[in-house]
Amino acid sequence: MIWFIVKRLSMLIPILFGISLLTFLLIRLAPGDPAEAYLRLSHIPPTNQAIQEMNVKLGLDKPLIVQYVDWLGKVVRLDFGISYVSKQPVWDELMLYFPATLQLTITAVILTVCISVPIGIFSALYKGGMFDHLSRILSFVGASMPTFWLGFLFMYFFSIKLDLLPVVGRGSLAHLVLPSLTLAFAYISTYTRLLRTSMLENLHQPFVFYARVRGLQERVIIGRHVLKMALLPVVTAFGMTIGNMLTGAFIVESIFAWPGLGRFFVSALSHRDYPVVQSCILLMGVIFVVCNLLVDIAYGLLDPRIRWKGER
Amino acid sequence: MTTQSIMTVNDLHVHVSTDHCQVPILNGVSFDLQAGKVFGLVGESGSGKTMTCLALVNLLPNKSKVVRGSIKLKNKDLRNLSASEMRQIRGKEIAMIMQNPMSAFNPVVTIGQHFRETLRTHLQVTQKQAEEMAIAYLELMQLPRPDLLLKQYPFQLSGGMLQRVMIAIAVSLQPSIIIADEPTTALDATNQLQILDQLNMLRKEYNTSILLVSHDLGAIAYLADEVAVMNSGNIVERAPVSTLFNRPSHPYTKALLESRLSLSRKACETLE
Ligand SMILES: Nc1ncnc2c1ncn2[C@@H]1O[C@H](COP(=O)(O)OP(=O)(O)OP(=O)(O)O)[C@@H](O)[C@H]1O
Ligand SMILES: [Mg+2]
Repeated sequence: MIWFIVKRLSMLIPILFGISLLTFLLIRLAPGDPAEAYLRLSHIPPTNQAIQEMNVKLGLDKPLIVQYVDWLGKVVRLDFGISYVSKQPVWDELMLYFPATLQLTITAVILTVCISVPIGIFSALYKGGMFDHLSRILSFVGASMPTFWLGFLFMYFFSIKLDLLPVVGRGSLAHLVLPSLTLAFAYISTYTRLLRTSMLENLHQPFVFYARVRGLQERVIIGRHVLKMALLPVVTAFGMTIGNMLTGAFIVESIFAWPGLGRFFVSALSHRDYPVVQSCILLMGVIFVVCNLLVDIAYGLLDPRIRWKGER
Repeated sequence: MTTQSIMTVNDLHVHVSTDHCQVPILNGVSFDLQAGKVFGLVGESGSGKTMTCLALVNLLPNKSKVVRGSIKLKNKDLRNLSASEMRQIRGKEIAMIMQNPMSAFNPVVTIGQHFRETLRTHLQVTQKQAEEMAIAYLELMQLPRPDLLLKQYPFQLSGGMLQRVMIAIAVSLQPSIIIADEPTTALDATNQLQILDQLNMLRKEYNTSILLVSHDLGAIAYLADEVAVMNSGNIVERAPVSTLFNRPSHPYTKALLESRLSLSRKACETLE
């Protein structure tokens, strides 16, 4: 197991390197001139001379490779530069907004797991019953409704009509309910269906029959044998989901005026605040990769066949 | 020597319900299993051998059920038991060895877990005690390094080893009856013989009754004391093994033996 983790970790290094390179190039090759953007944001007329001076000041006159190495050297020390808009260190700003996004995403993940796992299990066990039909309808609705529409619907119904929950903003736990539910809703329906299908596939495997032959209790057969197998594809899919959820969080944040990274990113983008945009993309990339790694390790823990592959 | 009857099956009828009607699968199967004896069941594919085995442990596939007859285990009619009473008999009183050991085990659960959970379902033992029992029975089946084996996963073992583990699990609860539905079909010749020898050893050691289903008449002749021949849901002939092979009385039995013999004769001819 240790070897398996070490192997996965060592694969992380080239991937992270690739992400940093891509992020850097993406920004440099994008249309627009950082120096000009800086001058505009600082209310200095962008004359040719001013732009040239600015290029020197920002180090943009050096060859691309030198710029990249400089930038990477700072990034590994968590120095992401200074925001063109606020003139504050980007890192400090990220740390101001990121926790809000993280809170929203983690809550949505927890909601997804806690709701879809039991529903998935029960609709597989009572396939064709009332509960199964109900969950199917719910899943269909959840999968076909766009996030932003669902968000407004929730807001209108629970906050404005029923006046149960706050409309927008962040603060108490009550503020968290609607945004995280909106974010989780589509995933809840996806995962309910996924787990249901995969439970059904495994319910009639020979190993289930053999477990019955040995006289095991039904709850052991379901809970230990079937569920463990049924969770494998779910865990695989989860690697993708966590990353996607972060992106989804951006939309939800703008609906509910949630002071997270999404809003920060969008405003930086419209201002052409290059260091901020670059840092946000890099941060997202790293989170995406790390989540996938964690899921990989979890998969290895669940499925011994993966763990031993290539080691025998 | 008196023989002790462990299980008596009488006039067993099993039907499968289709969309329109009930199709009979077993039409009045009767036999009894005796302690320490091997009862062989032969017959062509689809004759109902597997269905007979499944009926004994009340694990018939969906839509099929016992409609008539009795299955008595030591004077207890299994058909009158509740689901949970029947569950307690499975594994404990009637163990079963599956045809395909490679797919019978859960691929993501260790051998040890399979073994311990079986023991702990039926016996009041700690994990530690269950582990010690498991090691003892794996040793009995001549499996090397049982302590390591328990930590391994099914895919790390060969088919022959898994079949031996399955037998070890079956025997560990000292059941009165072991049902073996084609226990050697998925194995190579060397393993087949060893498995048969081990089954033979176990029935002597523990006085277990074995119901052996096989296509392999050689295996039946080697192990069985009594043989029943099945044809389309009926037992057409039942006799001690030597009688059946030397002087088959029913035309179907003769045909079955003849087809096997002609096959081996053909094989000899092609070799010559
Ligand atoms: N799940 C099922 N549903 C309906 N009918 C079935 C089912 N399984 C088997 N049957 C039918 O029951 C009959 C007996 O099948 P069974 O599996 O007992 O045969 P068998 O003697 O074990 O054959 P084989 O030697 O191929 O294993 C067959 O006619 C088969 O079509
Ligand atoms: Mg069969």
